[in-house]
Amino acid sequence: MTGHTRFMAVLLFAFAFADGPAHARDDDYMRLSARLDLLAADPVLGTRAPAQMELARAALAALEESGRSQRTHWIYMAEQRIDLARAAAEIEVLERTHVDLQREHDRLQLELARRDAAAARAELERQRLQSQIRAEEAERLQAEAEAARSEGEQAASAARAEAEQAKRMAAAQARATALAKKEAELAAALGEGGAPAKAPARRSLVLADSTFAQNQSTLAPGASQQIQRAVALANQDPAAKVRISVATTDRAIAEQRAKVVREAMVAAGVDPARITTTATLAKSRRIEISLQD
Amino acid sequence: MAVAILAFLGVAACTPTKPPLDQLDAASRALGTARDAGAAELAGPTYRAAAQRFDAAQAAEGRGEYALAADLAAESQVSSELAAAQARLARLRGEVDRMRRENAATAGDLRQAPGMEFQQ
Repeated sequence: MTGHTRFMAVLLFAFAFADGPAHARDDDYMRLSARLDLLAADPVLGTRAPAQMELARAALAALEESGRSQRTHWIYMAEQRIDLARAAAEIEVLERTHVDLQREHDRLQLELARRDAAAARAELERQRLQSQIRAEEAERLQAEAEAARSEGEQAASAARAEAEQAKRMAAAQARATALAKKEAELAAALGEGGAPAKAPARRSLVLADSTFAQNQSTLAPGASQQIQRAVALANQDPAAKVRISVATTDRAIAEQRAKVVREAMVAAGVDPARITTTATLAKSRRIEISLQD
Repeated sequence: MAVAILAFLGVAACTPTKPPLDQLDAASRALGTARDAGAAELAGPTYRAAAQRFDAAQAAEGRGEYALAADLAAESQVSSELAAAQARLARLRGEVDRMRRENAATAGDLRQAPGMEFQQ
């Protein structure tokens, strides 16, 4: 065997073993595989974020098939992908919880308004009864005054008290009216009929898919109603910043849509200095308007 | 000898000859998205790992080590996505906690209202 031939043999040996697939199920693979299995078996998170779960499985499969030179890379990728799948699943769960809490918040506010309105009505009734008692007292005193003119001054005093009571009653009436109006607005906001009213603590809303035609960045016919919803939200708190977040499967379209919504809101009177936009890539399309403190 | 030459050529053929510009661009955009999501503050360690890997990917690309650059760009991108998700989680947790406290306080007010019915 010549020196040259020996060199080539060594070279061949090196290539054959330097980057061969590490089929053995090593500790890292087993550890990461167990983590992913644990996530998949989780009763709450296991069925969430299926796309991210699939990417994590693919990274794990790549780790199993990777050669020695790629092993560190795929361990990192698999770890990050599994963490990302868990985070995405937790986000889904928390977003659902957030929606439920918002609904509960609206219901409680309605309950509170109803309670205040009922209390105001009870106060009004109490004032009315007191007024009636004083009126009867004044009438009695007046009768006595007429019978004995010397007691006239006492009757005048009762009359002044009656006038004072009438004033208090009017104030209670005004308060009851205002609370009844608030109750009606909250009931309308929760879909109990009546004209639409702004929810007292709403800080964000999602525009309907129909705002834009599919894969387009121009407003669809009838989108003005969606824009008006966004403007109404912005006007609800003129001091707050307005954030327009657009997510689509195409980043350029997302950016263009965010710009179009912004321009439409500015045209409707919203201060452009208040508005910020973000465009993100996502599998699900979404346009969210939110108020930022 | 022929086998050795073929093996050498096979390995050489697997080595990328072009800079992984698409991967670097995707990693750059993912890093920007994570930054916009507040990941630098809310998911600091993950965001910093993504930024360091992006810097390393650019350096490898500059040295002509394109395969390494592509791997580092992919690692940077997935870390950026994770950082953005962690930032979103942190925000959501804060918002959910705030709403829970607010709702509990309102429900408490309603329960304490004298003579009023509270529908649970």
